Amino acid sequence: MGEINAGPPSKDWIASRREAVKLYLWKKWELRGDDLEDVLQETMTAALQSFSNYKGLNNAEPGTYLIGIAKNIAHSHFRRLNRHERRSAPIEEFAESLGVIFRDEVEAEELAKLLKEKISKLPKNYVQVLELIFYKGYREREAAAELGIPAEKVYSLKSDALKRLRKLCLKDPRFRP
Amino acid sequence: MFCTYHNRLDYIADYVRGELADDEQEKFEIHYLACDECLDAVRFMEKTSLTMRHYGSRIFAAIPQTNWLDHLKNWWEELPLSQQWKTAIPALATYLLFVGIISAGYYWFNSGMKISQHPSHQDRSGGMVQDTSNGPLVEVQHFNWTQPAADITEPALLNRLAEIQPIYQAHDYQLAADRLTQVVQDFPQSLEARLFLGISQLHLKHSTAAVQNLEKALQIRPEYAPAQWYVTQGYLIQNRFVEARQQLAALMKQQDPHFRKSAEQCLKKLNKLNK
Repeated sequence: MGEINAGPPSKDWIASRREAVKLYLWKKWELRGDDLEDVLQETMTAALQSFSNYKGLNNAEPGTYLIGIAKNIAHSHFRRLNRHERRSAPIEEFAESLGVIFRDEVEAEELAKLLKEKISKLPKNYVQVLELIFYKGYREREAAAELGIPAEKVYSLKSDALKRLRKLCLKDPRFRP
Repeated sequence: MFCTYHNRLDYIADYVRGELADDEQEKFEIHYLACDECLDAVRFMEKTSLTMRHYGSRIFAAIPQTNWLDHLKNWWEELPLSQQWKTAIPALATYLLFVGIISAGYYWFNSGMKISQHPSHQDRSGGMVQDTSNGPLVEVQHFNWTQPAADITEPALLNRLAEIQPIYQAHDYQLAADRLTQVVQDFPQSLEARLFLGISQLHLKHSTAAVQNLEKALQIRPEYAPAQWYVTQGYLIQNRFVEARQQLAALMKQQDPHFRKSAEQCLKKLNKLNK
């Protein structure tokens, strides 16, 4: 447990990273819809074609190999679109997460219900910290000022709250992917 | 190589929220592209974070306060025990608690019985078996008849009372009342016969006859505490609260502390009931 593949990647291993690469492109490069699918497809194909050249260069992690390819292809994609950077227009994260993070809105709604159920089992101070940071978008120091407690306490409450929440969620089969 | 990130959910949450420095962010991305556990953790955090942000008003609205029982349940759920143990331990604890309660109850009941059967307990109140501080307003209690009074001079009366006394003591009030009725016919001035006939009739719920016999006993010996107490019981059964109060007032002046205390408690109950 906790061990990752350290040797040169095989074709199967590269194919198994498809979801990770998709998440990376969605999050880091803010690619959406067809753009995301195109860049993902191109990245996976390039990784599979060139994997025989990869020999664990300088003992680099296999993730370095994949990320290098994904970066190059994303850059090329933006050049083709005459865009040098990621888009600057504000994005509606939730709407654009559908199909990548959530299957659809029904899944998200269901998750919201389950999350409410799980969060209600947490102690009050955990709930307050989660609400301020994840719902209201406060930074830890702002949350500390709001709650009138030291920032260090907020960090530890946040850490404990997330651990307990994940533990509660993982016990529930409805939460498992 | 071992993963050092997947248990650091706060770190992963910072990544999801874009709070990590660029170099740390890239380092973590290189890592999670190759690590299944971190990929799962990132997906969990991304889902949870997006859900809390988008549905926060619903999720955080009026979350009920967790009470000590919920905390206990959560604590129990989080204990690193197998599901079998988590089921077995509460079942065993419930069983032990049940056995404990039953044993304690049995012990208490037995020791209570022993105390009430102890002679000193029976005689402590001049023959009254139970204390009257608690319980209903009227609760006719057995009055111990230890032996016929020493001042009875007529041998025939003495013999007949000596025959009836064990019957009464065995709580056979019907037979005792039948025999005592005959004694009263033959010896109408027998205080003892009137008293125990009255008490037996109270037990048999013949309150009118009981009150008559107890009043006769009081005529024979006014201010005789047992007769005063039991005639009071008769009055209370018949809802004759004025007469009952008069007798209780008289009992409060008695020397016998037990009857005085019983009368006081009875008066308190009457006052409480506004009778």
